[in-house]
Amino acid sequence: MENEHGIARLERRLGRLFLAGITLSAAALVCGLALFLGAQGTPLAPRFLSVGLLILMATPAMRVLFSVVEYARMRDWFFVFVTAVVLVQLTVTMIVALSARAG
Amino acid sequence: MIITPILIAVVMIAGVLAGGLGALLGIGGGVFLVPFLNSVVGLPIKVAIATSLMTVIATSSAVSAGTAGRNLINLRLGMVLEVASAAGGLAAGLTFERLSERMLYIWFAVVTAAIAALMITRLDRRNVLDPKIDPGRLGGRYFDEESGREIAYRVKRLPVAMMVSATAGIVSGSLGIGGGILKVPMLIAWCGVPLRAAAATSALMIGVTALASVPIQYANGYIHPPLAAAAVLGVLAGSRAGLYFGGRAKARSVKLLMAIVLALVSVLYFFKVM
Repeated sequence: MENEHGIARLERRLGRLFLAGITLSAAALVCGLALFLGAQGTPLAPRFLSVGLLILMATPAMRVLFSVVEYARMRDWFFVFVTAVVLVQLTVTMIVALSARAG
Repeated sequence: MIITPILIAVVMIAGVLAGGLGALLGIGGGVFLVPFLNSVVGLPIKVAIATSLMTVIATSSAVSAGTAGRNLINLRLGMVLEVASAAGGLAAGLTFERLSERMLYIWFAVVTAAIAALMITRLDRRNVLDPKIDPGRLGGRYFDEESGREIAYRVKRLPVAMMVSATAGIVSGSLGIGGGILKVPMLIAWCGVPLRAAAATSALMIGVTALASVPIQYANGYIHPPLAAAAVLGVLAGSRAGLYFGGRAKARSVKLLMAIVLALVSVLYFFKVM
């Protein structure tokens, strides 16, 4: 079945996405924490820390976005719908968070 | 709050321990981290919860990076259940400011006690069918290292799985745990999914579930970046070790260990409200 190959390929790609996200995030957090402990008061430390946390949070979001695209390529419309619903839910969270920050 | 190097070190060690146990059990590890950060380290409960949710995302990505490509993750089932768990997480994130922690602790203690009992009574039950069967649209098959055979399974009672996932999402967003602690036993006991596939699928889902609430908690000031970074890095180191041992541990002993941990967590939460 062609879709089984598609699923296997999707899974391998998601594995690489997770690895990249977690590696980049951890690198930024290590730098941020080292700067925080080593050079108190440097404005770089909070920047590295928030970039690290943002990459961390972006990784599962990218996974959902990636899945929507891959299921669309496989023309599996039921799963395009399912993953798109999750993407909408995450968008609502982002909007609420951004408005809480602004308010 | 004054963030000292000692506080950062203590939070990191807590992360290592929680991450190790979490990966070993296929749960987020937050169930250990939240009470530790709150009761031992003395962080406010909502800071402990939000910090733990960050580590849940890290555990999810790290464990999924390790299991992807081994057919253990049931992507289709995970994505269907995610609709429910993300909705639950979002609901918890929206109500986080107004939630009564006392009520949630009581409820959580009851639920974990019930699951621990369920796990112990079904220790030797295996959800394994003949590998030649058609696993259906949501089922799956994978190669089991323990028995050296291919394993196929069908997913039963999807509406039940959706309801438990939504509940797990609410518990995740409001208590800072992964929610795998609810989903994994449910997928094993009621929905016919074998332990390793249930754990891998749950590990994939908990990241998105936590992401449905944690940005709101971050925006409301419950994340202290240096502490969150320390916890995340600790959990990443710990979950690597847990995953390494998890592939070698016997399924029965993993289940028994999970049941004991659940019972202890339940007792802890009962004591917290007394």
